Order: sequence, then structure tokens, then C-alpha cells
Amino acid sequence: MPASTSLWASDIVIAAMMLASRTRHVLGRRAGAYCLRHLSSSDALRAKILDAAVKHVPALGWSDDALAMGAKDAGVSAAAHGQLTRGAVDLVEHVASACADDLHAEINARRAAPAPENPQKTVDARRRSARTSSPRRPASPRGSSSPSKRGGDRRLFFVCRDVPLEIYTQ
Amino acid sequence: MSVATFHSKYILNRLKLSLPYHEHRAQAMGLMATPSSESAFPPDIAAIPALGRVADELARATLVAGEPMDDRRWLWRRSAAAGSYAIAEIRALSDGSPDLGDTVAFSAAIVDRFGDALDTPDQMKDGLRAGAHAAASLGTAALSFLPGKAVGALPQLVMIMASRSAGGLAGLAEKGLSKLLKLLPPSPIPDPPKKPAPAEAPAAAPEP
Repeated sequence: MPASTSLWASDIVIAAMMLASRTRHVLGRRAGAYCLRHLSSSDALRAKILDAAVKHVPALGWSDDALAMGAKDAGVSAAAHGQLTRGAVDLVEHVASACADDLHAEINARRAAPAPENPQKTVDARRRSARTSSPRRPASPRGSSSPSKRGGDRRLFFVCRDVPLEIYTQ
Repeated sequence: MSVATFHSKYILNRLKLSLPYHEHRAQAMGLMATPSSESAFPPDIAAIPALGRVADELARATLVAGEPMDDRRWLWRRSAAAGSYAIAEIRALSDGSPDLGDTVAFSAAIVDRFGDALDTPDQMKDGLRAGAHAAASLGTAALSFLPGKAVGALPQLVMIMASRSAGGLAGLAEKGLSKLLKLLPPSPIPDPPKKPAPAEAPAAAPEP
């Protein structure tokens, strides 16, 4: 019965493929979970040591001594800082990253002013309004403006093409 | 505030964050600038991704909702931020003034030369040139603050290369700065800064 034989063979092939796929899937997932657990625990310890070591930087500099003190403060052996493979470079990177995070939060604390639909129109309208409603400002005496003041005016000219005036008052 | 003012303000803020470690700034810079392996190519230098991160934050601070921005303009803005911050850090190496006042004034002048780096690469080049000249005016004094292990014979090497370079030390600094900016890792255009959403209030107990 050739038809049934070929059916049986194809069933075996499909079953083998499914088994292989399942095995790979299960092994991969378990291996992945193991790696994830291992990495997260060692990362947590690294972070703990680095956080504790930062306090010792002003006194000891970016050194293995600071890392060893950090490891002690973190409640592990002073030799545990050996898992920081790059030593003091890891410590500097940790502080730089923390500073960047602080800067990120600080920048977010400034609420960005929503831009109107046509910023150019707003700027022009405000200029017109300022020109018509306010009396002419008295001219400043010659030579009284400093170079930094002139630089500031130039920057304002560059920006007001794109940016609404609201943000200048922040 | 203009883009340049934002750059100045947040460069100052970033420098202030590093004030507790100012005494060891040179050591930190030496460690970050030293490649992790002598044989690796391209060299794995920790300072480059760190500089990229700061540049991203400084450039993000200048973004305004609704502002037209494309990849090219974003790159110029990041490069201006990275260039001015890198030069400010070099100046800070030899700054003994309280609260890094000299560095703040110096970086404000550099940022001013970068302008807003919005429209043309010429502004970018102008800023780079000004920054390089300023860095060159410091001479190799800043390098001498770095620990010998990190810089080795770099000051002498720089002087030899400068004597052979067409633009002298300033030309060499400009070229080096341009190369450094090209090494910055790419980054997508982020959303303008916004306040994080307030934490959700705890759900009220269901009424009986």
C-alpha cells in the first residue's frame, strides 16, 4: 500500500520536526531563564558594590581601593569587586551614567511649551503688537552694549524663526 | 531660551553634577579615554558612548514640540552639543575657580560660536574651529593634568604631529574633534522633553 506508507513516512518526519522544535524551544527557554536569573543577580551585586564605592571616590579616587571599600560596605568580601572586569573604568562609567540619568530627569522637569500651529505667525503677530502698542525704547548710548549682549541678540534672531516666544520666558 | 542658551545651561548643570569628583576629574578622563584592549579595532573607548549619552541629553533639551527636525539637523545639533561639552570638560581639567566659574564662562563662549547649529554645516564647522582654537590655546597644559599612565607620551606626540600639521595645534585639534564626533554612536530623534506622568493614585476601595 504505497499511499499509506508515504503517509506514515511523512507523519514521522512531521513528528520529528515538531519534537526537535519543541526540544529547542524548551531548552532555549530554560537556558534563557537561567542566564537571565544569573545575570540579574550578578548585575544587582555589581550595582550594589558600585553604589557603595561612589562614596569613597572623593577620598580614594577612582581606584580599586574605592571598589574594595564599596564591596565591604555592600556586605560582601572586599575581593568581590574582582567581578568588575574593567575595575575603576566601571566605576567612572557608573557615575557618568548616574549623572546622565540625573540630567535626563532635570531636563524632563522643564515642561516643553507646546508649539502653536504656525509659530512664524505668532512671532510676527507679537512683533507687530509690540511695535504698535509700546512706545519706542530709548536708544542705548553708543558703545554701551557688551559683546555678550550682542551675541545674545544674534541667537534670538536665529531661533525665533522656528521656536515660539513662550519658551524664551521660561 | 535659545538652543545655545539651553546648551550652556545644561552643560553647566552637567558639570555641577560632577563637582564632588572634581579633584579626580583628570583621572576619570584618563581612565575613560584609555582603550580597554590594545589589540581591539576599532578601539573600545568608554568615553565615546558616555559622551554620546550626554550629547543626546543636551540636544534633547533643546527640542520643542512641533519643531521640524530631520536626521541631518539632529546630527548637527548632537555634534554641537558633544563638541562643546567635550571642550568644556577639557577646560575643567585645569579649573580651580569656585563652582567651575572659569569653565562656565569658557563653555558659554564656545557654545556661542556654535550658534544654534541648525541650518548649515558651516555653523558647525565654525563652532568646531573656534572650539579647537580655544582647546589649542590651552596648549598641552590640559593633557599634563592627566595621569602619565593614561596619556603616556601623548603631549610630546601631539606637539610633533602639530608641527607637521598644516594648521598647527589648532588644525590638529579641529581634525581630532571632527573624528571624535564621527565616532559618536547613532541615535534616533527623541521626543521633546516632557514632565513624567504623575504616579497614579491608589484605586479607591469599592463601595459596598
